[in-house]
Amino acid sequence: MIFSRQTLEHKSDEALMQAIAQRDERAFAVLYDRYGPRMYRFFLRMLWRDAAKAEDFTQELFLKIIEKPQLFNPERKFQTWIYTIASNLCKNEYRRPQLPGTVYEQVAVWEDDLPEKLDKEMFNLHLRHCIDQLNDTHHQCFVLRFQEELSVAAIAEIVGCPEGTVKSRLHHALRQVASQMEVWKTA
Amino acid sequence: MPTQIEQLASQKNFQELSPAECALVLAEMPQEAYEQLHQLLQASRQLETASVPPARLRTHLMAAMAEKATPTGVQRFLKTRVPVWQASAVLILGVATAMLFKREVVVEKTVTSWLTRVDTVTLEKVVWRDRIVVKNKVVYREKTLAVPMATATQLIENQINVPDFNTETIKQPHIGTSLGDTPELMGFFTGQ
Repeated sequence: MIFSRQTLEHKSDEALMQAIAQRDERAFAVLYDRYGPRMYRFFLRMLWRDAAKAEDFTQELFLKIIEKPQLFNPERKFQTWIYTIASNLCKNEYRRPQLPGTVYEQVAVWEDDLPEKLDKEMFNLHLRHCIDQLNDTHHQCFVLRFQEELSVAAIAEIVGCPEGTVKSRLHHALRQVASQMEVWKTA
Repeated sequence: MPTQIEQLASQKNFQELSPAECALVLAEMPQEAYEQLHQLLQASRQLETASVPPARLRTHLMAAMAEKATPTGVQRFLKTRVPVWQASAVLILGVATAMLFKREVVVEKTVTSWLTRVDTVTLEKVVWRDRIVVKNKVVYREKTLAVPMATATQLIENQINVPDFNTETIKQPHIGTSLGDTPELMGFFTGQ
């Protein structure tokens, strides 16, 4: 069944996937608008803010949806499924030797609140560095939980391990980041 | 650190906590640590939020989807290919069906036919005791007219063309040959 764009915008992700399986172009447009920017940011966070890679990975992810929509099980939650595929793509990338680079963002010209902005920029820079220092599994859990804001149950399904393991990883990841950020607190 | 505290720290600062939540937090960590955790989680969430994918990515993906998309009814009709034998079979079947169910409409039209009549010519002459009567045989010549059957189309147009037949000769019918004009014949009868 072909839906109008307005109707599609009110459809669930799972219903959209069913429409995409029937080659509905508008359903794909709605799904991309819903998840495209989100997945792009996820790849940015997972791949050391490499914009080119994030773009490539987002494209690869959505091409998989276009090419093989039938792989999605409608009884499963779409959000979990798409994050599982995205995480698997990142896993392959993690296996390659990486040299995470430090990204310096351009700060605006002088303004009265520039010191505060600089302070915030420095804080964010340091926070990024601390998150980058996490090992792959902790990094993945940290990003999914505290940046993508997924539930522990969903993360457990995505990474394929029990919820207890996810909680443990999150605890260790958070403790590591917090301990490294202690420096900032005392500064 | 309980998951509940993580969840609280990601959503509320210390001042926003209810007394029960405050008690829960303070049982685990000092207020300062909670504030730091809250700040850290808030900042983590904000990282990269301003990043958006380039517009060309959407364009590329939509183009890829368009190649796979369901064509409209007209596009599907124009793109569908069938084997030649199937097309031929359908054509033959169509023609056969048309022939089978073809209705022939016969239109009859009354046409006045003209008959050529030869009047009787009688010559009566008494020779001696005998009375000789000469009669010309009456001849009726019938003209048969072939009127073409009208087709349905012609019926609709209400134009049935009946061929004109020559009535000139009918207006001046042949009146036969008088015995007076043929003396040999007259002589035969009269014996002169």
